Amino acid sequence: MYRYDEFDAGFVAERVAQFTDQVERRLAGTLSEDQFKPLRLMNGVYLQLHAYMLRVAIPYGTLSSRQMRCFAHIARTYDKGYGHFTTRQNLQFNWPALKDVPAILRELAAVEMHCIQTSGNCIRNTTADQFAGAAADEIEDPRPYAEIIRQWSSLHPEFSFLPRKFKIALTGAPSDRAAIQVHDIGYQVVKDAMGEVGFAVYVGGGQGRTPLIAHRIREFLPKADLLSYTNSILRVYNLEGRRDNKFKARIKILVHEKGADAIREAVEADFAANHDAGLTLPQGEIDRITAYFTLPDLAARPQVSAAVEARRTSDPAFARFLARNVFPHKVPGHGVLTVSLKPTDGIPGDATAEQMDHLADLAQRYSADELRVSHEQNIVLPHVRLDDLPAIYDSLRANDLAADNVGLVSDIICCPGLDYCALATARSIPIAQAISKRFAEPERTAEIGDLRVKISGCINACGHHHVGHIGILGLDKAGQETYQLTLGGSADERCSIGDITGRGFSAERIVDAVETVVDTYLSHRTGAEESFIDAYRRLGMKPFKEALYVPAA
Amino acid sequence: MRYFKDGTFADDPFAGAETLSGPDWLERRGSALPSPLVLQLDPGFDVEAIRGLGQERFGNEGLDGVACVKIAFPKFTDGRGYSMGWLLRTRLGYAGEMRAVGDVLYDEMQLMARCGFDGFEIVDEPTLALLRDGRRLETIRRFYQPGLEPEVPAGTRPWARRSA
Ligand code: SF4
Repeated sequence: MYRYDEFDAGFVAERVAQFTDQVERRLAGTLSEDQFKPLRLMNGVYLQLHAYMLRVAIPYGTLSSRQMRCFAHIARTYDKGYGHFTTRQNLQFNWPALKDVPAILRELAAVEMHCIQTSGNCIRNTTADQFAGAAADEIEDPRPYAEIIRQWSSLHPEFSFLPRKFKIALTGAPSDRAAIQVHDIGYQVVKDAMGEVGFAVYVGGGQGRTPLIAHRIREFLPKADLLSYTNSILRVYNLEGRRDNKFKARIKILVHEKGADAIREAVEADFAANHDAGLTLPQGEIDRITAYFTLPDLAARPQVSAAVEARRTSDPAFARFLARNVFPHKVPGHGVLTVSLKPTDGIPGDATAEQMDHLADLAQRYSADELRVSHEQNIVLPHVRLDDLPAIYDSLRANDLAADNVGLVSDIICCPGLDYCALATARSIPIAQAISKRFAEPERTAEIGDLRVKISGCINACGHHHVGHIGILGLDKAGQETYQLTLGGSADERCSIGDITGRGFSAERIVDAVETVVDTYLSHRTGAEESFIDAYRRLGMKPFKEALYVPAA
Repeated sequence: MRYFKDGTFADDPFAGAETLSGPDWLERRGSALPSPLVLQLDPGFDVEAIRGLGQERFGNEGLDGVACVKIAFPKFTDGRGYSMGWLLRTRLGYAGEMRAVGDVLYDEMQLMARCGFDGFEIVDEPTLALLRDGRRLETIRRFYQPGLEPEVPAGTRPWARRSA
């Protein structure tokens, strides 16, 4: 993984000193809250409902065991003993005191981490496929490019006061695990007819009040032009994005209002004029960064592990865990293991300091010292030997981390909602907990199969409800929490926005409604091989609507 | 209001000069113009429109005779001025004074300087106090992208720079 050199370490130290000074001036009153707000946001400090929240960047979701242990330490020392992994592969601490933030930043800097641009109207932490560099289906690891973008976008002089936040995601595989089509820019690694590797460029996707799927504005961008082209997109957006209405300020609205062709033209014109502004990447530089992401030395092993097979046949729970939580690795005899942070009745994405330490231990012992955070708010051990899976599983069980529900109905993406968030219109965490309890029976959830449930506590859609197979949006209707249900959304390469079923449901009724949808699917599917989303695409809304809104007898 | 240039408070050489807005100037081009010629461009003004039709793509004729361009930041959160400044310097080859006016605050001044601004009109009292106390703009000395201040390339990364 990427390691700081002196330049990087010096840069972060300068930024910590700068922010420390800004906090001091705020506490002394010479910086007004209005003036301070964008500055603190640009360093990940939010004001939530009850306290400040600090969001730490985990670039493209990759971290070492040492970094994970630092999170555990911070959670214990400055917070209430836990942290929350977010849908942008970041970590949030919910209860730090503003005066402690500089000390936390210094602790993070000591393990090569920071909070730079984890919020605010700037280029945010770049995200990538959580299986990057390990997945068998990948063309090329996208993380070196994410790292190149991370560096280039850090404290960018031209793009620090954009109309709104700006999110970039990359995927290196044809199956999109990074939801790139609902990002401001999505880069997908592709091979052209000559076998050359570059990027397909998607622009203008997003969720929130106006969910829109990105347009592909370029089929093939050579690697060398990655920054130059990104720069041109940002410039067009910075100059032309709407600033009169915060809800219309994202680039998706600009693309929507002007049309993808007009945006493509403007971007290409700027790109043509910009071509050699010091941003063209020499191959040597790409190679230098790529070297940090070399696959660890994993010797190929037998494709089938006798230890795993023996345990699989004797232990149905372990068999389910294997089926759901382990993904094929590039190197035979290895697997990519997802540790679900969605136990029954748990808070999606939360981990205690003890669990973080434990995951760090497992990564050190079994996964080449590396962990990943997924946008589904789970943790990944990217490089495990199949032979070690029984031991890892037992160890996870002992620490309440062995939920075998990856990609199933109880693996819910959920934003913090009204329990923490100042913008929320309804609670989301209790709904996720109630659904996970309703679907706590592992045989039943396995039988239901792939099903993505996503919950947001307001229209901002941090819980990605628009792209959930089942999406739930919490609203406030005349003082009552009301939950709007959507079906048929999808965040992968067949991206789609969900359809609203009809009128919303109360907090008491929404779980029944989800169950009704699931039962309707089960009774209509052609067989276990037809997943929920495929069945919905075949059937449409009608049978679900009929089941949900039965006329009173 | 105080005028700050080249790391120090100074007397405004264009004090009292007539200032034309971007649209006024475009309209009056070709007729008699004030001298010295001082422009004030508001966010949203299309700086590339300055380059007249048929002119050299990277020529600076468009800004011939302009002594000072003020770019307005009505609110410091409106970042259009950064791109406008960048384009004036890099695309239109403008070499005269480029001044940030309006809601100019200490914490943004270095970013402005890196986009080619070399003069500042400052109203914010705490910003003035910091500068009077000897604070200067160079809080960050390592950059991850090229800027328009004097900078030296750092290491092998083509876009990484150190301030000179
Ligand atoms: S979706 Fe709304 S409630 Fe949930 S975290 Fe985002 S802003 Fe807060």
